[in-house]
Amino acid sequence: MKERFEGKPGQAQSTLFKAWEQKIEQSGSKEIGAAELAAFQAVFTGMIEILHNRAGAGKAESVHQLMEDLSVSALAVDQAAVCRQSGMSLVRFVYLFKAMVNVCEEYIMDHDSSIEEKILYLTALHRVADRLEYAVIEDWHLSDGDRTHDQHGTEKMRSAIFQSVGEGILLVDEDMEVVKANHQASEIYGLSRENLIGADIQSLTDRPGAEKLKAFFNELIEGQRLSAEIAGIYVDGRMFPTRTTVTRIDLDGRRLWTIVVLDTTEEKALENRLRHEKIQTEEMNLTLKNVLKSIESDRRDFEKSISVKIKTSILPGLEKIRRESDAGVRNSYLGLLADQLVALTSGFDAGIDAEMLKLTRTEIEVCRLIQNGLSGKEISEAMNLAFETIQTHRKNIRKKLKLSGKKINLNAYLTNRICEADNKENNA
Amino acid sequence: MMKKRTISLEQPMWNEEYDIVIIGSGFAGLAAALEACKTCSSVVVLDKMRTPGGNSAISGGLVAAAGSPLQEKEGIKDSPALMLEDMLRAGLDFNTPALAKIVAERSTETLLWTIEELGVEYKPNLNHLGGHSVPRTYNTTNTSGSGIIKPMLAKCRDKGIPIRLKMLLQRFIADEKGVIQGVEVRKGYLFPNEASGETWRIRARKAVIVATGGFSQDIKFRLTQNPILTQEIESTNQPGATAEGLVAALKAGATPTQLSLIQLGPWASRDEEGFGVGSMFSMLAGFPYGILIDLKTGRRFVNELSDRKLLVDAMLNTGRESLAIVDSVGVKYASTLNKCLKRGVVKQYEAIDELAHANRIPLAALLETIRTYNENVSKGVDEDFGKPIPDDLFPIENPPYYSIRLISKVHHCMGGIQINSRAQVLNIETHLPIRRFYAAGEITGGIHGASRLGSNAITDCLVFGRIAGRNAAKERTRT
Repeated sequence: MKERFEGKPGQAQSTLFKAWEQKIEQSGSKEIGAAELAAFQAVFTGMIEILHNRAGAGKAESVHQLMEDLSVSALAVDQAAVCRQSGMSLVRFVYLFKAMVNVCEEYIMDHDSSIEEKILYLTALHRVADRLEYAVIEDWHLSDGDRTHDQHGTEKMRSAIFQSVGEGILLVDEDMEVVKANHQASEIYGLSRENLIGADIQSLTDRPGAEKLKAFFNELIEGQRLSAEIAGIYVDGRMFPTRTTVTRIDLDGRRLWTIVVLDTTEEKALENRLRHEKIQTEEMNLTLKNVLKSIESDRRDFEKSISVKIKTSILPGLEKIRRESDAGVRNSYLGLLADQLVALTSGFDAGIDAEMLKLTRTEIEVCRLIQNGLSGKEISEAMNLAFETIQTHRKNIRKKLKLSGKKINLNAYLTNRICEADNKENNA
Repeated sequence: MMKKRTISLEQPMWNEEYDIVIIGSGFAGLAAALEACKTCSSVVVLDKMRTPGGNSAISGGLVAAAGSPLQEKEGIKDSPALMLEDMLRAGLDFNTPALAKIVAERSTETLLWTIEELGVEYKPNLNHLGGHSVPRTYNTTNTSGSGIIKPMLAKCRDKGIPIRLKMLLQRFIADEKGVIQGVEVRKGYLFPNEASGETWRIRARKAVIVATGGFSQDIKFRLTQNPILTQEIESTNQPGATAEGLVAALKAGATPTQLSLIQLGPWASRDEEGFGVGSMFSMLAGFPYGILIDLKTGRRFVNELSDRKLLVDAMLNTGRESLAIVDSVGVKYASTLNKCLKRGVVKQYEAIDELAHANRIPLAALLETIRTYNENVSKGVDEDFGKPIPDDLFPIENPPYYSIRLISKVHHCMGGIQINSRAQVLNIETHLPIRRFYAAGEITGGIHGASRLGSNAITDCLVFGRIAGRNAAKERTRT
């Protein structure tokens, strides 16, 4: 059989591969697919070539150099990758591989050479085979490992969530010591992770806060959640409001508490501003109500004063006009009445005119003449009355116009009134 | 009629202005702000992170002071000269002596400032940290730098100094003469997303102070300085301890100095991330009151109170796995013990054989190591490694025993930009101060030389932060 070593490696290979296929078939395993065959041929061709060359060239003593031949294992890894990508499982690969090694062993044992030589070949074979197996399995784990990849991903995601939430998260043990904390907790308290881990949770709040937390720790049953508004203390001693939620977890017989902390400084500021605005609005409402009330009472006063005026000035004036036959006097009354009606809605200085309407017919006549610039004597002549009588009328007029005791000339007063009346007309 | 309007296509040069703009809200930045605001009403502090305080807030809160009240009370003789000597020895004389001297000389004054002006509370006892020839270290009552940062932030709030977060420094803006005018930042930056935020320019009418800290977490940058500091080597620092502030300063003409001197902390736990709670356990109890052993041999290999460089070098040597062991007497100094036990960083054992078994240490060797060590302690001389044996150091013999698994982690950048004694940044070409440009804290270089002694960083940051703030406030206000 010596010629097999000396012949072309291709012959040996085809023999080996045939034996291999038979072996697999006999074992009742799944038939070897084309891809599998191609891959294994690629791996073993190189390997057998080396074995064949070395052994055939009588270099059995240098078989240990096979170990150094990296190209073989690189090829094996490459071909194993092809198998892996075509969906072969590692178990199948190892099975096929072992079968092949087995075939190679038999081939060497059948070989007719000295026992020493055979042992050398076998040793070489096993070394190379072990080396290939190791390289392939290692690579398989490295590049495959879908499950480990998944686990890694989940862990990474969990960590990302833990670090990225807006609330500070602290895990506290039975000694009330922080055992885990996220970035946000660091930021909230101004303490680096190194300082936060191992810190007493009570040092992060004030006394009432610590009492509250202790009470929570005692009360809580697993899975329950309690929350409170307690103070937090920043590293520089600044106090700030927090909303703190505590839950209990029982882990491996140990009790742990997760504390979720939200710095509510901004929220509180907003709340305060809202409260302040609400108070302001309420104050404003009250003011407006008072204003409305006073407007209402003003309106009522006004109505009252108008009705009084109508009763006291306008109705008597109308009565006088109704009874008056003299057109001149009637006109005077009408003029006054018109002024009165205007004054009713336009203001407060209507008082004087209202007084005018209280004057008697004779008194109005006297007034009219005074307004026309007549002297007391001229009036007495024009009215055919005694001068004294006119003087009495004048006195009464002054009284009715509430001018008694005032240094106001009746003539000037009445002239002014006319002027005002004229002005009003002009303006209109 | 339509009104004619001219719309300028150019962006306005400045979005805002303040007298003094400080970048970084750690010890140096806040000290500068508090000092500046005494004479200047317009100060702002910017920080790129979501929370203020940077790495300072997660440090151990250890403050070295020479000639302090506690030293006087405990009858410990100390002086700024001795402290300077310690700094230069640990620093292998790489230190700029003038700057180191300022730190030592002002250490006690600065410590008192934290107590009197800020109201910082310290433990009533001193600590003896590696490389210091006497105990001279104060520790905040909460065993954390936050014990100083919090009062500083409260004071800033009091004084109305805004601390504006999520502002990433992009560059310093200088005029044609190289005088610093202000900064360009990304406003609304979300660490570490480079694309986040918008460009924003803030003018400084007086000066800019850069206090952006070290770059222990900047793997690419630290690799350029020391190729063994690969990403496999963890850091005790917060993730924001990166180099862009330093790089921006260099672009503005600052002088780099000793950037490759990067310190690893020997005391951090293998069983937790970063500085954690284990570091302070080792510093306060494990090293001064316990022993440091090699897991494989069960033997001591170094003076536990050596400075950090010696310790790390010894620990990294032949890839040792180190463990610190302390008994129930020594453990009482470890104020973080409960947290360490809870997090599994420190383990408690009732007997040495239990401890040896659990940590796979050869028992016989370990028992022998402890026996020899105890003998040395009783004699008052450590004949093997020369660890100082003070009166309060006792043999390891009282159970329970405590152990912490250690691993070296990148901790502090000694190098940085060069400043003068007024905290002015020096120009690389002229060696003269860049005008209106100050720096303080871990971004500066040369103060600690090859190895910074534990508890000297806070002192340095506070001393030079205050100097920078005071001098920046004295600058003439630009119109």
